[in-house]
Amino acid sequence: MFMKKRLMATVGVVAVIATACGSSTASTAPSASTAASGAPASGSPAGSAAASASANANLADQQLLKIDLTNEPPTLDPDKAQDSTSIEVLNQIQRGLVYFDKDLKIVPEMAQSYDVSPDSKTLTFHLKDGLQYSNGDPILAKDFVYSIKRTADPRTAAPYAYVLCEIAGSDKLLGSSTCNTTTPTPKTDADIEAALANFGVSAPDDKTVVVQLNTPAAYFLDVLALWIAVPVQEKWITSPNATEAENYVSSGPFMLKEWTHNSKLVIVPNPKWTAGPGPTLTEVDMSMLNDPATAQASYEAGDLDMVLTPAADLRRVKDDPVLGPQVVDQAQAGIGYYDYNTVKGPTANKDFRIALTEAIDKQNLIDTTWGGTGAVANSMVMPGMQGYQPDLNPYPYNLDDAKKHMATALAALGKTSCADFGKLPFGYNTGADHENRVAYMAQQWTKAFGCQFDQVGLEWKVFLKRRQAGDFIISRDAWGADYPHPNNQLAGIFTCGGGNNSSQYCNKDFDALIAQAAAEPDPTKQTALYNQAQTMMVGDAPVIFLRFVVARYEIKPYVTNYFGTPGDSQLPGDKFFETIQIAKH
Amino acid sequence: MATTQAVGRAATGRRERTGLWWDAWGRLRKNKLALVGLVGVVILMFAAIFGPMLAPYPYQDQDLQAIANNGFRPLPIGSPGHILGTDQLGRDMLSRLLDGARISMSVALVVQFVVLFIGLPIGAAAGWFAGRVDTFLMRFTDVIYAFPDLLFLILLSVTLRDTPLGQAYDGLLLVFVAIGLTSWVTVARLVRGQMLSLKETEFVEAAKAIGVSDRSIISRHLLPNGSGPVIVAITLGIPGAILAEATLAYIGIGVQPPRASWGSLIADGQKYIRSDPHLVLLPAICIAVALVSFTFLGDGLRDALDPKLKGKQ
Amino acid sequence: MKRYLVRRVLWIIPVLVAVSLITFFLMHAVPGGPWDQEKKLSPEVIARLNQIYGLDQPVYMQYLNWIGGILQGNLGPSYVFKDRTVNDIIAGGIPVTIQLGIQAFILAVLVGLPLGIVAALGHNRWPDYVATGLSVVWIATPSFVLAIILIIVFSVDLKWFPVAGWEGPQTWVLPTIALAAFPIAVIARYTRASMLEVTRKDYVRTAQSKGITGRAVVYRHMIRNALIPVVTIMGPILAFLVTGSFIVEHVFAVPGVGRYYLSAITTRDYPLLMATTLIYAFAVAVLNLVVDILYAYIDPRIRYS
Repeated sequence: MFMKKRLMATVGVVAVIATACGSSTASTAPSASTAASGAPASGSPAGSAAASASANANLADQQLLKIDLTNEPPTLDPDKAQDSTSIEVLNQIQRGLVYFDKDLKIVPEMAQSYDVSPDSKTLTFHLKDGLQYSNGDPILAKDFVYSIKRTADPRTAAPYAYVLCEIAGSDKLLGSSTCNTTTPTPKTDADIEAALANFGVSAPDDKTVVVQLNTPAAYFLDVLALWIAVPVQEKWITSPNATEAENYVSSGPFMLKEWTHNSKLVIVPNPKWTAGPGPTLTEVDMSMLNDPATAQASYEAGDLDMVLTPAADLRRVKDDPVLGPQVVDQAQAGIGYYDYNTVKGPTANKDFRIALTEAIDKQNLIDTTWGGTGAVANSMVMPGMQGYQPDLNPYPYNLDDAKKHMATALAALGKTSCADFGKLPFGYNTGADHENRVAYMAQQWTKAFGCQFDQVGLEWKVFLKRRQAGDFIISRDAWGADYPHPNNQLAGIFTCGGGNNSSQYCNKDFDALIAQAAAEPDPTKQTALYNQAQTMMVGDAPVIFLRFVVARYEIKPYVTNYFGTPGDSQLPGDKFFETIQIAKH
Repeated sequence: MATTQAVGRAATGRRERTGLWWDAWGRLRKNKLALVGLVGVVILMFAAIFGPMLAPYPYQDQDLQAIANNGFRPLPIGSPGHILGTDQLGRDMLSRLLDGARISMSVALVVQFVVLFIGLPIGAAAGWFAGRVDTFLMRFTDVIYAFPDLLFLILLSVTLRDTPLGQAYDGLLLVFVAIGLTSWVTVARLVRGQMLSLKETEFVEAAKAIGVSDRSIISRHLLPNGSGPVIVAITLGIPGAILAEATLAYIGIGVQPPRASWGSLIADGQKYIRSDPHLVLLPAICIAVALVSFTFLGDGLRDALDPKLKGKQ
Repeated sequence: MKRYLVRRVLWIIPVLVAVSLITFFLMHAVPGGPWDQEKKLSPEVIARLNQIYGLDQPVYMQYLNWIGGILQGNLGPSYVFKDRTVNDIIAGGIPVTIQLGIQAFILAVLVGLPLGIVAALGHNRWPDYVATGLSVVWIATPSFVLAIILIIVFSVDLKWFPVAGWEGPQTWVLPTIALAAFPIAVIARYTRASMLEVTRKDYVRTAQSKGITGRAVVYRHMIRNALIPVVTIMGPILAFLVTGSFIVEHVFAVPGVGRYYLSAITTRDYPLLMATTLIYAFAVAVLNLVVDILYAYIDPRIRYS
């Protein structure tokens, strides 16, 4: 329920393209690393083939889309948002200099063109003519500057400020641990103002925005496509109740018409939108149904046009004669895996970890506890990304081999059976359907080796603290890609002392390879280095990889021309509702 | 506290004495509904004590092969080897229900024990000493009464979940204690009322005149004679406790998987209500039987222990 | 009586203070804070947030600050809904919850009282069994199960009502029924019990022996006296309804205050949590007072010093 919000954000449905602070490649080909070769969900989905051709004849009279936002958006202030709910709405009502197309490539949006300096450190954007906000005011270059600076301003406490680390002068503004530098955070207002004045975004005139970077980072364009870089009028955002519907100023293809808190949010086409094609839809109604079962019932009753299928219904809807054909499975840039504690308990022993890994039939696990949705994962980097290694599988399902490894481990640890270790704490967070997976795996390991487990289900934040403290021998984990680059999948999770390293895995050689790969300018060599690093890490089995995420949705057949991407927030095509058309039904 | 006690509030103290136990039993026997309740409670006790030993499978045993053969759907009622079907991991429903009986009966008993343990002394002290002690204790119970029980339950559970108390008995000890902590006010008030009225009676005055100690008076005269309404309140409080446990399970606090109480079975099963309704229907029926039995028995006890003492709940 | 009233009203204040103290410190004892999340915020951002919201001060100081705010009518900012104040959030949710509660209460009385009377009058015959059976089933079914059954039957299959939301009378029906089920059953049972008690009372037999017709006896004597214990149960029921079974609001997506209960705990939105707790405690205290007054009014035998 309420957990899903976080789960969705974690499952990487926000394609934030950012630099891993401090490490940047010198690649000048902006989207080479985002090449979605073989990515399952780019391109046209079922149902859109005929739509564009005979569009007008088949359109319904009422172009209304009804979806579920699942939760009240915590904020619609673009610079402060971090939540998938907020982002889904912001994607429609606010746009920036550039944006993504249906293949997640960067295309100009409010900028009609941009120049990249020879050293790739300066980006100059030229705005289109006649751009206006929904209130009729012109969109000026200084509004972009104001918005970006406001995000970076420590006083705003914006969660996504860290993506701006690449901008010149960020070290004086964003603080040392945000940007991995040694400069201390500015404390006084005077210091902050001074740092802001030196921050590398400027507007030399009303139609030009200049961004200066620390290092050549042409893929910084992806950062500018995010909601934190949309133009914001200072006089608007500083006025009281700015984000209420009656005061809200939109810049995107849609505008905010109505926001009944905790109940309903309505967006309609923005008549002042000129930067791109306008929406066919005349209205999008977003309800806030926390309960997935309620959402599913709403879909079946016809109150919703698209829904994320709840876990318990995954099989039922697929087998259902009416709902089955409406099922759409979409890959997402996310992975589920379980951490082994590599420094405490029997899991500190490598053979023990390998034994556990080889005792799980991952496909069966997916079929039984994930409704059959999702692809088996044996390594970290996700399909469709640079650095994906489909053949890397050193420890496939093999009970005999598993038992051999366990015997070796037991001998090394001086025990006769796994039960001798007592009840091993197996931690997970409640409220997100993990009990089944945990029970399944615990049962498999008990059957194979006699291990005993304490299945510890804790409330979300308590679980986070305990996992971070290393209290569990095995714990549930997951990762959603911030950007489609192996660095985001490997650094920080598997590097020594990494912020998201819950297995406490530490291999200096691995860290060295990662650092080397990050600095490697040649893409082919870079990929080879990441492959090498990943192979090394997977060989050490610090975690058991389980499943690359595939989400199951049900979509009414009359919803056409949506374009799902791995970067969707909550629903397929929710990066651009302006493409959606409702067919006659 | 108000809502958990709404179900269990029974007679407040009045001046009548409770009848002899034998008379009470005679009246109880004639009450058809109460007998039904009694039978139900006995069956539940039997299931709770012996059930898990008679269960065909261990409650956590997963028959994954059967699930795989069934298109990865839970087995319905009447499947070979699983007379009441299985859940989504192939665990036998009959076995889980029998284990759940043990848990639900434990809820009933342990919670009421906690309630007595706290409510009895507080109510007795308030009633016996009266005056300032009474005022202070009653204000204290007012605070507890006004406190939203659900909130308290959740906060307690979240805070203490990863302590030894929180992990004991598959997380249930914490649940029992928490529910008990939020439901003792009714019993306390009841005991106080009984104490207040009984201590004015003649035989107590006579005992005091003779010189019997206070403690002796309380334990040998007042408690046995005043216990009727308390017993009724305890019995009628059990349905509330069972339901509270189910609600906690729905929120995600409660018995730790793979263990399952009827409440947690309902909470998990209701997600499958359209595809596999037996997952929620079976435990719901069990809970209904338990609630009905205890309610009828409690009603019957109340009628039997004092035919004149009714209502005013 | 007046002195008693004044004393009771005054007592509400220390009760509320005690509740707020317990909640505040218990809340801060729960591990994890508002800024803990999976993709960790940087320490600078956390420090800044703590500073903005005063979380960097010692706990007792924060409590005093909060009390200070309360005295000025300011319930504080929300840690999660950063653009809104708790005052706004509560002000938006309370009317909805109260409306839902009142609707459920009216339904509960309209259905529960007759049900109980019918059961009592048909004591130990089929009306009694049916009514008692129904009410026991409703008590025995957890509200979340009842809610989803109502949705499936009436919204998805029969399409009589929308599934969820709170926009217009059509959406009011199912949540009201779901919320009223338990009170209906409780009211029915208590009405039946007290009616049965009253039938055995001497004054009823006296009236009957005097020859007053059966129905007159029922209406004039039995019902009025039977209402006494029922009034006592109204208090907790009203409190239960008004603070909105959080479950009904959750399942039907009703934008009331009850919905914030659980989410405020999970997200550690302390000000919102404090406010909703206080509202509940206040409602319970006031309603109990009202019930006690009504009680004294109805039953002349009771006198408060």
